[in-house]
Amino acid sequence: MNEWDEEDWKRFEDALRDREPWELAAELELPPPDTTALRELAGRLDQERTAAQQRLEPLLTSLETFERAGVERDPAFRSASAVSVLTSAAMALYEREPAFALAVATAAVNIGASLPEHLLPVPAVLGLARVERGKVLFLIGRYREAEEELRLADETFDLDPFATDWERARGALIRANVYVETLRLDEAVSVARAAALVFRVFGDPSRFLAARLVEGGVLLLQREYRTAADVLEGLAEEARRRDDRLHLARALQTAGNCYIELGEHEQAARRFTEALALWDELGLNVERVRTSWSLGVLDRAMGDLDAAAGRIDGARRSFEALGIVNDAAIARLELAEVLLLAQRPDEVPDLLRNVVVSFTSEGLMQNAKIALAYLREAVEAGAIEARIVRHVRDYLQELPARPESVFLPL
Amino acid sequence: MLDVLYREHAALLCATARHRYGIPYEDVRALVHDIFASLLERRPQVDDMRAFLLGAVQNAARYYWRKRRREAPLLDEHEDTADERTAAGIERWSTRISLAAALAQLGPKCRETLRRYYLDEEKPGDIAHHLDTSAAYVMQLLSSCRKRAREIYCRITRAQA
Repeated sequence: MNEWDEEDWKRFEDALRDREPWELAAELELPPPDTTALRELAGRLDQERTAAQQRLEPLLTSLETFERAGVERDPAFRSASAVSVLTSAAMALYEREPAFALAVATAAVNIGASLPEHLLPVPAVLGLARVERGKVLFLIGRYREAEEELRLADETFDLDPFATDWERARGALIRANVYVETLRLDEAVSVARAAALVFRVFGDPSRFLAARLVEGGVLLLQREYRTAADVLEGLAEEARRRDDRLHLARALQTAGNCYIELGEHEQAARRFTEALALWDELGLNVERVRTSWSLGVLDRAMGDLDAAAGRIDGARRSFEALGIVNDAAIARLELAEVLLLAQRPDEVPDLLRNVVVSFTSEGLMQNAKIALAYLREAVEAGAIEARIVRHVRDYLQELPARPESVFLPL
Repeated sequence: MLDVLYREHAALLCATARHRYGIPYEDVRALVHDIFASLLERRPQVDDMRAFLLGAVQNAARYYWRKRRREAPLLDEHEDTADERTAAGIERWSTRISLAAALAQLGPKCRETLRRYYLDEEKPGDIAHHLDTSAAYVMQLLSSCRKRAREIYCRITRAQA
């Protein structure tokens, strides 16, 4: 038990002088309401969930197996329990196998949305499936679709009298991250702060940290590197105290990026190395790839261009294998830039001929194609330079945040 | 799991629904039942189930009063938690209800002694007279009962600490 100081005792004794706790205490002594009906419900739900789990488990071994099974069309899976099991499965998959997670979350949403009211008595079950689908869409960079899914999640929660602010805040946390990625920074901070408050009230310290981390990320993007590093170090400390390795790794990763900008390379390397070990421990491959990419950026900042090229190429290949198309494209461009700076231009043309990006908006796709065509022209003309590649990379990176911006050649 | 949750928290939720959110006595049990039923369907994974349930009762009470907005006005505590003041209000309530739960678990003699001393502001001598014992014994009793109350209180709030 924690030791109490004089102030704690004083607060405790003051509270004992308040009439309300004494009145409430008398009421708390009454026997609790009967649990028979709840026990029956719990038993039935357990049975349904176990059955759904048993039927779905063999289909959740790989994306191919899952897609072949066509669970959305199978009447055996038309139940709220199947939606819950698929949502949980997507949560477990999204960091390791985002494409698979998206297929599973999409099936959960489609099944849930097609269920009549009597088969989906708690609409929040569908709301949570939508939140998870929004999360996967965010992770793979499909921000507009992620926002739409989160909007639908809120609409679904509105249908449920017992949906809580906690569930809505889970959607809000992802929305805040979408805002960060699309550079709507003020909105990101405001949404993340509101979500953090809800997580604090609802006793969810892990998501509380995740929401606070958004603020750290925003400070980084606002180039407030020192303040960001201080905030993130504080959050890392809090995560370490709680043995919350996921958010410890996230705080370290973002703090490392701040230290690169501050020119404190040793500090950055230390944070990335610890984050890398944590991702390995947690088995979170996508995050590991991002940290590895950051180490490449650090190598570049330290002037070790060959090491930087090796690491960024590794990240590029991993993103491509994972189907994270836009990050793969950005890594490819950064790799080309580093190779040009390292006086290794021979490898660049092949690299730049095959840059692929993916945006669901036709306008974005059109703008991106114009930028890539400009790049290819420069390659074919033998006039490719690091600054040209950088110009295209910056444009593509900011395109989701500024969809109306037109590409202007250098 | 359900039995443990229910035993530990149902009375707390009933008291909160009634006293903090003004849910009429005849509706309180149904409301708390529905909160638990919804919980069974959703199975949220959180560290502090007690805090979660207190948040859930606030949301359920908000819905309850929105449906009956012609019967009674919505108060501040029925509104969203997404501001610092309301969140602090919920946390203050959480402290008070935890203390109430600790007092409910104290033995009758301890509770009586603490109540007379703190709430009714009786002197140790008067309490001793009532209990037919000495003032020195009452002082000792107060000290041990206060410690016991604190132990129970800390156990109840441990997950939040």
